[in-house]
Amino acid sequence: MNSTIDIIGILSAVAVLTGLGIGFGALLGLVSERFKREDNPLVEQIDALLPQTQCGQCGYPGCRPYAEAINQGDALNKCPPGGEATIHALADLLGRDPEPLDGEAQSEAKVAFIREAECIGCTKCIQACPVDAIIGAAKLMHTVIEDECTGCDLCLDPCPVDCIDMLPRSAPLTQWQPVVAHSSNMIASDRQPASGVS
Amino acid sequence: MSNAFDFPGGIYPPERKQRSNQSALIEAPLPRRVTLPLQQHSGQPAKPCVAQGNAVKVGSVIAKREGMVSSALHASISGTVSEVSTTQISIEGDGQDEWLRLPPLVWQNVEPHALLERLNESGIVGLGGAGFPTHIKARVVEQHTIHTLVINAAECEPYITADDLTLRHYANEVLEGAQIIAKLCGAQHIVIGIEDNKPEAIDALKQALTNSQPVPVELAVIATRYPSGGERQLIKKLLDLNVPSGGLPADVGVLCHNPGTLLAILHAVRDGQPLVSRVVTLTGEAITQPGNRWVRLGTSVRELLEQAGLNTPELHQVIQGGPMMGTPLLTLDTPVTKLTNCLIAATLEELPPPPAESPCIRCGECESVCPVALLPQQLHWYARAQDDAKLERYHLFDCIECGACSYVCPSHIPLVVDYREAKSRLRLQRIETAKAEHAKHRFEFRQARLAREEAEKQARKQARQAQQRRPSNTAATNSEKVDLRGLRIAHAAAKASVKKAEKTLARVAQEDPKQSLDDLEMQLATAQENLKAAELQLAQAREQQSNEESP
Amino acid sequence: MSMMHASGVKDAMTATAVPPTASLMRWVIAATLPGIATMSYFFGLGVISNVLLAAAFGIALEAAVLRLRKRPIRVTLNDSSALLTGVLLGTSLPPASPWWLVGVGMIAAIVVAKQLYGGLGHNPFNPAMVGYALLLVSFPTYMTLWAPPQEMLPNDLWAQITGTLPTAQLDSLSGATPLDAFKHKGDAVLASEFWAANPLPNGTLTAWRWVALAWLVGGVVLLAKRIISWHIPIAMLGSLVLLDTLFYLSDPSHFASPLFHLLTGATLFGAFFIATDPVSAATSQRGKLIYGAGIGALVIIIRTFGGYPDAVAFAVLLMNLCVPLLDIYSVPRPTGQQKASPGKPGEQP
Repeated sequence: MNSTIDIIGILSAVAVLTGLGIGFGALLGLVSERFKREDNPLVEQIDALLPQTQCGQCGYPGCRPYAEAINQGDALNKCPPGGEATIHALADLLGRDPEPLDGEAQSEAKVAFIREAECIGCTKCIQACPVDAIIGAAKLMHTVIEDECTGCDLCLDPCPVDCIDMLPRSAPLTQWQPVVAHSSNMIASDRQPASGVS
Repeated sequence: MSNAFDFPGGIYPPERKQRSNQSALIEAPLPRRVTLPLQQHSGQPAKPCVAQGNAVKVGSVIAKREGMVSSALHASISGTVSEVSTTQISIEGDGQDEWLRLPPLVWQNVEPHALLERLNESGIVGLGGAGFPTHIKARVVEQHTIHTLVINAAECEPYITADDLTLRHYANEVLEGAQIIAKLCGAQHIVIGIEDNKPEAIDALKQALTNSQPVPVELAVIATRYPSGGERQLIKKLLDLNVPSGGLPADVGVLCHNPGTLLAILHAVRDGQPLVSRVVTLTGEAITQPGNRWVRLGTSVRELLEQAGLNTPELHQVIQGGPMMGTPLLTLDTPVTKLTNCLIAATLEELPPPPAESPCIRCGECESVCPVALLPQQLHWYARAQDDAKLERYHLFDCIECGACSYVCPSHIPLVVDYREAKSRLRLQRIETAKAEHAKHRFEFRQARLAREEAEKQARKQARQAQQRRPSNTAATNSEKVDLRGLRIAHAAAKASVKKAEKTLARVAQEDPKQSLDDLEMQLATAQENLKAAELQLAQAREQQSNEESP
Repeated sequence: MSMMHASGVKDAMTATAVPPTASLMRWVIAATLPGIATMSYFFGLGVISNVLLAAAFGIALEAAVLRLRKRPIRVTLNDSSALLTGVLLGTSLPPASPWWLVGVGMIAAIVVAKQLYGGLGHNPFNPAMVGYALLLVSFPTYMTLWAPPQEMLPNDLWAQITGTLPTAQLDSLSGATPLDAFKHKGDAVLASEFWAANPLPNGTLTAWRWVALAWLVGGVVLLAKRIISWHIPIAMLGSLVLLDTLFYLSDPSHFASPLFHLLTGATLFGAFFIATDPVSAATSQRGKLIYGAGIGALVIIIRTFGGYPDAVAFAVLLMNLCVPLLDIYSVPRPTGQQKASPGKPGEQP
């Protein structure tokens, strides 16, 4: 005599769960449609962490395409201008493990400099520059706008007379950073014996 | 009414002003040689306009203002220029002390722009410590209405007595200088804020106030407490106005000037004498004749201290500025600049090095003395951990670096050093981020331009093909037909983004006309390029479609 | 401008300013003396031997860990913080507790709660209370038996050294604290029956009241010397009294009076010596008020509805857990910041 009640109980449970499933599914669908974003916010965030040198050393034509590739699952370690700091920031953002940098890290910020006496005015570097930081015209001397140059190296290869140097970027005195060494009491420092800690 | 308001926190360090305020203000001996740094003010360094070997008189312009925020520099002794480098100009004196003055002005009768020009060519900057060019500060009226001029004579830091002595000797002149500035900025009210530990200066001011004053002057004597001489703190205390974070006193209709600056303004206007000397407090246990001196700019600190009876074996360190906010000098072979208000030649017993730092126990003492109501203990934590997001959240940039927290810290943590370091790191980071953003926009602009050029090329090609009427590529048009809808959407999106960029540009330009709009203009240009490319592609596809339908 | 912000303005005037951290610690230790003296008057020399033993353990353990961490030992020990932890834990234990009990408590306090987190200034939990809570949940028999006042014999000190229980403490009811007795109430059901039955040995309640007053004296000294700020003790005692008054007025037959809660157990000791530990407390003044009020409320709730007779240790530890949250939501608005400041909590990711 209990069997009918049991069947009703089972059916009602199934019905309730199905109803809930459909209800919440509809809600989710509605919300995703209602609050849909056209841009991909994650790509924007990744792009914001990249150094924007547009150098193409990652194998993609610029930082934005690399950001899209990372979002598709590409490795994080292909950005030498960003260095370890960028890899760690990306790993933090995406919850992935940081990998060692693929290639050599750039030691300091650089800018391109055209030895103007040797320039033949071929405009090849102008076409190569990803941020339009080189000005000049055919058969006329070219020069680099230092403030706009990202130090990407892309103008070096096309130059037929090798008249472009990469020089360290000059920083004004107002951007000078003090070097303060703190005696750290943090546990992370326990790996090295603290010398002269007070 | 003036004592009804208060700023939070504050400390009561030993004042130690007796050492330097007992003797009268006298002229320091004329230096034989001066070294004048090109940057003695905030903003851009001045640009030299003399060459080695040029003869100069006292007051000759030797470096000109460069850029908007900058200030001119004048020879402070007569003689010949012996060296011009990228950072400083040296002059070898002839001992004649010949002056080159500008024509005197009667300030009541001249136009404001003439007064401004006089301030500009006299090289006057704020002598309280920040060194902001005075003519720029006076031009603040172009954007703000000023109702009150505050004379900041609080001089709350221990040891320093330069303003005290200036007021004792030149109370009338300082008030006249204040009237000039009040006329320039249209203030209807002048308030003098002075701490009650300077009775003689207060008496001198009271005496001077019996003379008639065109703009009413109020003398507000406030209780001695560090840092009541901070601009924001003083304005809060005197007028109960809160200068907004990241803003200027002018945002609440107030202008703040130091007595020394006002005196220099009067000298420049009434006597045509540019800023070539200032009052410097010489104090500390390691000199035998402490006191205040009129010192020519560029005089060597060593020479000055030796004339005041420097006891070299006893000397431990020389601090430029006050003991709370000043900087220890690494060498005595450095010149007095427009910003040197005090030199403390301290013995080891007087200002001993702080004991070794111990860990922060978060006792909260720093919090209770912070005049800005920050949480120094948390800032310390995050500054050491370089947690930049937290530093911004805890308002690191509202810190005025007064050093009250370091002073009370029972663990002797150099908190202000941490904050300065973190601030400069964050500032650099902001610059770098802005640069990266700028590079990104330029890159996007280039991409858009290339896309437009490509589309134009395609259009031209198609036009050629259409002219030749070669019915060859029907296969290609099939795929183009499918894309038509996508192209239309892309076109609409490009149109929308142009509108959006235009709107943003207009809004920002309206809100803050001073801000540079280059980046936004470039974004607009990028959107326009994208729109052009989309238009071309769409037109091309339409044409293809019609071509297909017609035959 | 700013031509030389070299190695820094080593805040030239600080050397003559405020008592350094070490002397803050020593002041707190000094302020415990009235309490310790009163306790040993009522509960015998076992209190003093506890304190001495715990302090010795504290110093030895701190030195050992510092050696392992390759840190300067003498300078760090000089801050007296390990000594203070020992004194605080020692006074919390029943008189003449077995030596190993003290040792285990101090290991939990100094090694686990303090040094493993990075030492002074980095511990999120109050070390003494971590040690106490660990002992309370691990060895309840040893921790809830207090010798009745003045029945402590000198030869019980021998029991401490051999590590056994003093014989006098084996009778459970005679060794109960007032809070413990009230919690279990013997055969009584209602509070009134409990008081009528008068189950406590003569003088127990008075003894605890005198001890509480002695802690109050020490606390007032600390407040007067500005070693501690008033925020935490006042907020804690205030919320404790307020909450219990509500309970007591609603049903006096079941709940103890506010005065009873105020003057028994570790209430005053906790308010002035435990909750005020700045390292593990909330840091802003508003945060301190909330933190103290939270402790007071938790003390009453756990004492009334929880399984343990006293609750200061648990209340403090639970509020320690809340400190990071309190710190985030109690940031004061700096002068000049507008109401809708960019740093408003919740706006940052």
